[in-house]
Amino acid sequence: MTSGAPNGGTNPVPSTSAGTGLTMAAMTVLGHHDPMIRNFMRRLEAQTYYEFLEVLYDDIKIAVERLEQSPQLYLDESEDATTQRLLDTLYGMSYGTHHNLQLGGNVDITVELFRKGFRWIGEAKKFNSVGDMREGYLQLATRYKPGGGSVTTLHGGLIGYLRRPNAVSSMETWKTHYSDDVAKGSTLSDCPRRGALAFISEHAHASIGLPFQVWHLCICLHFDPQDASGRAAKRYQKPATAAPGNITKGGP
Amino acid sequence: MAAALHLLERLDRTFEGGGEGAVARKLLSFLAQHPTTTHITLQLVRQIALERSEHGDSAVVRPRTQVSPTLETDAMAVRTLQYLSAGADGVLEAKFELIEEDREDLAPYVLTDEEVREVMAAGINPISGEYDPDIKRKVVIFFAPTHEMADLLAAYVAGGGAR
Repeated sequence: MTSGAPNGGTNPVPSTSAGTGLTMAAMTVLGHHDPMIRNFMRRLEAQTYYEFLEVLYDDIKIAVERLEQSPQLYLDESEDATTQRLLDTLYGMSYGTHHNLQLGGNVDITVELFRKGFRWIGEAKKFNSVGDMREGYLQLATRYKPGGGSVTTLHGGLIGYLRRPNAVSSMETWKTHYSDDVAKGSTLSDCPRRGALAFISEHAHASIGLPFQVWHLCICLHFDPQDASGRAAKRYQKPATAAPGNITKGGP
Repeated sequence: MAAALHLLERLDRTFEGGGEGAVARKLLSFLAQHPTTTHITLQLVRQIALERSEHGDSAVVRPRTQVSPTLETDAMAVRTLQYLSAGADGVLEAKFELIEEDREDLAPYVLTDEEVREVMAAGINPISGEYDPDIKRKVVIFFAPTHEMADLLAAYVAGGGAR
């Protein structure tokens, strides 16, 4: 259980009126304590696609950080299995989630606030090279039908599972390749949630013509402990042919 | 039955074998025995989880030394309720009611979505229509079973209930 609440805690329940019920005030206190329920009210009260997007992106950040807490558990995990973990966390926050929903192709990540009619899609890739991210972006931008609920700007996400060192450098390389070769003329902006581990692009969607805003982010799953027990543990040892940190621009 | 098992397995996976799965199973067992329940409150979940812990059958952490609700056990209960409210197949739905403790003449008042928004955005008391600085201490969240809950409970009972 990695929700943020250590098992066995003995902190007293938050002071509330209305008996000892779950008041809005008590929910706020619990949310400070537990990221999984921090945005409970914002999810329930999202009335516009923008409000949905804001809370979803905050929640994705929480889910990503949850994954990054224990990369040693997912060393050899498949792309699909890691995606399912991410979706399980979002489902636990009461989003509707789908893996491989058919929307012009099998979309890796579909997240919905079902009762509101809002939908967001994302493509997840093992980030072994910028070629992986390029393929993911092209799937997202040219094959799938973007999320519904906004009539002015389309939104999506490109998530890279990065098991190589120096995530910032990998994202910089992808950002450069993206703007130079994949989507020339796109507008790039910084990501306030993930800093140098992400960026936001905007480019006209070829099929629809509306601006398509994409959140590019990596999940840092690199694990290479250099302490004595890490050096000795066979499961953390790299294969002899591995070339960590080698980024092949435009390669497969 | 597959839907019930899938929901509980996914719950276990999401919380990596934490106490949420046990809370959910105890809650489903309770609802199977009390199918007319319409108000699932935090107090009810505490009671279901903690009462049994006194008999050594616990859904909560440290059952033998800690039987009073804590921030941690309340957070676990809310995570479970939130999970059961997820997606198109959610078996619970969050609702809100206003309880004026100092007004015994007033019955609890269930808020509309619009009234919840006004409480959140402007602190407006839906009964008085006035700004109320304490309103968030008076509005209580509870959970109501959806139609999907009946199907889930039937499957859950058919599958042998809590294990």
